[in-house]
Amino acid sequence: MAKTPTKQVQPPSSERLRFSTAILRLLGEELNPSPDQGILELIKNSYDADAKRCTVELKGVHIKGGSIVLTDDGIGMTSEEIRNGWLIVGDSMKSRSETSPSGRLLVGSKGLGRLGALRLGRKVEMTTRPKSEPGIQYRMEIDWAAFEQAKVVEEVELAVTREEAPMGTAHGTEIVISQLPTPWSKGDIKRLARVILLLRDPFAKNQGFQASLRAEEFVELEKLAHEGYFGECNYHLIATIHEDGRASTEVRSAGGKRLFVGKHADVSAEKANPIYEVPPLTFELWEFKLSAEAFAASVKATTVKHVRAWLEHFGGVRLYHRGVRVLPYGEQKNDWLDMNLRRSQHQELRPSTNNSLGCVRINDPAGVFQQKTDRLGFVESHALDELRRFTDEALDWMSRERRKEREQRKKAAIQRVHLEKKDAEKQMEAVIEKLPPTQRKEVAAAVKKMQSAHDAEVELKDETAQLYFTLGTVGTTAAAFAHQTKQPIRGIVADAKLLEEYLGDPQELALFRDESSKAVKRIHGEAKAIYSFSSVTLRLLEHEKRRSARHSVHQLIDETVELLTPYLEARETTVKRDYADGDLRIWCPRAAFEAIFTNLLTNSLQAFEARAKYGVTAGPRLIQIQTRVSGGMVAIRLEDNGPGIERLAIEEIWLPGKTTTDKGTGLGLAIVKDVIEELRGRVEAEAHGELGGASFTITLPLKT
Amino acid sequence: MAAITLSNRRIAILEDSPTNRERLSGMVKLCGGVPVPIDAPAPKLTGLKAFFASQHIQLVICDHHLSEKGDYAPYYGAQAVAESYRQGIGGILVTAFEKDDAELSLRRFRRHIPALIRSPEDFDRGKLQAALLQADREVREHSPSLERIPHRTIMTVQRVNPYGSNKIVKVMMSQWDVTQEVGFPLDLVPKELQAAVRPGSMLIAEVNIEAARQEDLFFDKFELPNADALEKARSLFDRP
Repeated sequence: MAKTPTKQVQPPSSERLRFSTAILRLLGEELNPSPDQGILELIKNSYDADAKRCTVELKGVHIKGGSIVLTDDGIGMTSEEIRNGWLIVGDSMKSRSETSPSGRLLVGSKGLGRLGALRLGRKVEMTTRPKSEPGIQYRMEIDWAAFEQAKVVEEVELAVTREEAPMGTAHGTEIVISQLPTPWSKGDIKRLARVILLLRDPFAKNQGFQASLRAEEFVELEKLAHEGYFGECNYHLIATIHEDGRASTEVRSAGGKRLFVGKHADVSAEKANPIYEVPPLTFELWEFKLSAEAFAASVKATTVKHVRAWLEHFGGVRLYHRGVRVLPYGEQKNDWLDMNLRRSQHQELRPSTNNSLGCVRINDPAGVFQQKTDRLGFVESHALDELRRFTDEALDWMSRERRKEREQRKKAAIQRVHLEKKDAEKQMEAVIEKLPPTQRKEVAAAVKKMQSAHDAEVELKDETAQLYFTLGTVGTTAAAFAHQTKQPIRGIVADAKLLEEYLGDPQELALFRDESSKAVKRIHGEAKAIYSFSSVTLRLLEHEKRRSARHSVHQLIDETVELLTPYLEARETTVKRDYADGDLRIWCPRAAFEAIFTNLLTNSLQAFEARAKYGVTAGPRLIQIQTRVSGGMVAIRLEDNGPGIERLAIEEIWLPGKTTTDKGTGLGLAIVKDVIEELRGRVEAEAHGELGGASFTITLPLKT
Repeated sequence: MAAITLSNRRIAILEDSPTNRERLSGMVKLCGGVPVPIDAPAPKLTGLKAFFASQHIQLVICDHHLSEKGDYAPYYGAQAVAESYRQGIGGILVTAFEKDDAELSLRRFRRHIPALIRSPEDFDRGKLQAALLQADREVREHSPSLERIPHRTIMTVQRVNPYGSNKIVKVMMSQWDVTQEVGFPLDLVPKELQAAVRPGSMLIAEVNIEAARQEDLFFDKFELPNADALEKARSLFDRP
């Protein structure tokens, strides 16, 4: 039997994972995209060390070999804290809910930012005087050249010297990063000045921590920040999410007068107004009207030029987490709230990053928001989505309130002018009455002449306004029926191609004789359709329609329906009419009425298309128009059996640019509302009327 | 020869306009197929399979806008072609090609639309026949043309534009064309990734980057790039 050889078992050797010195470069430099970002991390360390002040000084940085000196009056570090905290990369001993000795929520990173900053120069000297060991200081030096020569990080020894602190020095830390390998440009310094200034909200008072840069650029910028043109703003939004996730909002004027107030249900636009699942926060925004006219019209202490320059530096909405800024939110070109996109849809009623300034402040003691490893923004999360939902909805709310206010102002102005005119006429009549009979006749004739000249002028202006409404209506109609009007042209081209194929081969022509005569017949039909569609636009634009006159309501409805018959027939839609008795007359330009009805009918036809796409088949397409008389007014109701108004609040349908259909311009209903208000009427909408689809009721004064 | 290649195959025609149905039937006959025009109302999307089986349909031609005129069908032609694709029947879509359609209602289903005919530009015997045969090869023989093969592609989001009640994501794909932006509806991206779709962010998707026309591009299987992929992409873009 063979003998099994005895195995010699040796005790296992103890090994450790070691890191190449190259890892320092990877971690320190690649995770810190810019030098200012690294310096910010050092300042945040000072904040976490309960410093009240932190100063950054640049010495000779405009040439190669310069240095950066950072000094703070924080609690400093003991040798234990240097060894187990400052020198450990990737673990800053800070848990997300931990606080500093004075109770500050910690904001520093995992030590990677510090590493990036320290590697900005070839050498680093750190001197720290711990508050817990009065009269003592610790000093250490890092020479990065030593790491370049070593294979692994652990090979390089770093000596920490304990010595007596110079007389009269208080606790705190000083870091000198020297022998910078590349010079800094003026632009680099300006950028650093900006990020340091904005690290804490420069406009908030009594913050207990001040970071500054000893440089001319910083002083200038700080001065500009302190000028603070907040008093010149037109709207100051203050939106808050409370502990229970519910929101409250208010908008104040520059003088602090409360203009609008909103409750949670006014702001949270989603169905059932869900609460915001995000820690309590405040969103503040100051919006300015940057036009020379706006500044000239009010008692402003400054000029539009100054405010514009100020906003160029400080515009945008920054985010402050635990009191310290999180980049890149609100940086120049970082429109994280999509304010500019929204403003492009509603020019006057929306702030943009160019005409406003703001901040979001979140304390977040539980550490719900986590910053990304590269310190540029938060990690995407539900809380971040909720924060964006809140800011979006708060801005939407402000826009809605401003629109309401504008409309009220407009109505009041019309009413005021009307009364003033009546009053002036009465006064004039009284004055004429007092004149001697010979002069009375002469003056009355002159006044009458002046009045008729004035009326002619007003009529001309009305006609011009009417032209814009008509052109707008032509535009909405063209957009809605673009496919319809192009279709017959395409049909003719396709048939011409078919005929070419048949004619190209005598055998095929014989074979497809019936097909070719069908093609010719189709061409005739399509040509007729083109004629009908093109006549709609021309008829809308007829000049004499823009003059005001006394018109029969029913006749106007019939004419508009007839005008749109080619489209109604092409879309297999029936219009049912149910009129009140009598000849109802209103005073308006024919074009105004056409603008209202063309837009409403177009709206219904588009809704039918959407109805089919939603999968609703509710029988033949039907539009119903009813008229009723009540108290000197005529109410005209137009409703359809489309899908109704979905995915948009009723008050929003009138906003320019708001639409629920893919092809809608969002201008049709805005025109309808404007025209009706011009005619001193009103319009109301219901999402689902008697027929199931949208229902619009227009009320206009009757002209007897 | 046309009559031989389509070999009297039965071709369903879904088109809401009776005039256009007649026109398409004429062209199908010219191509050698047997037209089966479907009168209003067309079967529901879920009923298409049974309808095609009962009519022995082998290929499908659909107009894209099926509810312009009346309630012909409660869906887009693109949806019908995609549905017939899933049922193993090749289909082509006929459309007047509006840019907005391309980025919204077409793009949503483009993955399962083997061929697209622009009307009236491509409305001729040769093109219609080639498109029908290509659709048949892709669906029945699983042999798509080179232009229809998807490749994992990285893209940079340029803008997210509101369009009606939808949002269109505009991206640049240097692997396809460094000069042209391409759009697709945001809802093509899985819900959990949508928050990350912002100007400047990067996405990965399967895209048929050999396609010559932008309306032929489809996007599928979206994902967010990991740090390595981002680094790689950056180095590509940074290259002089």
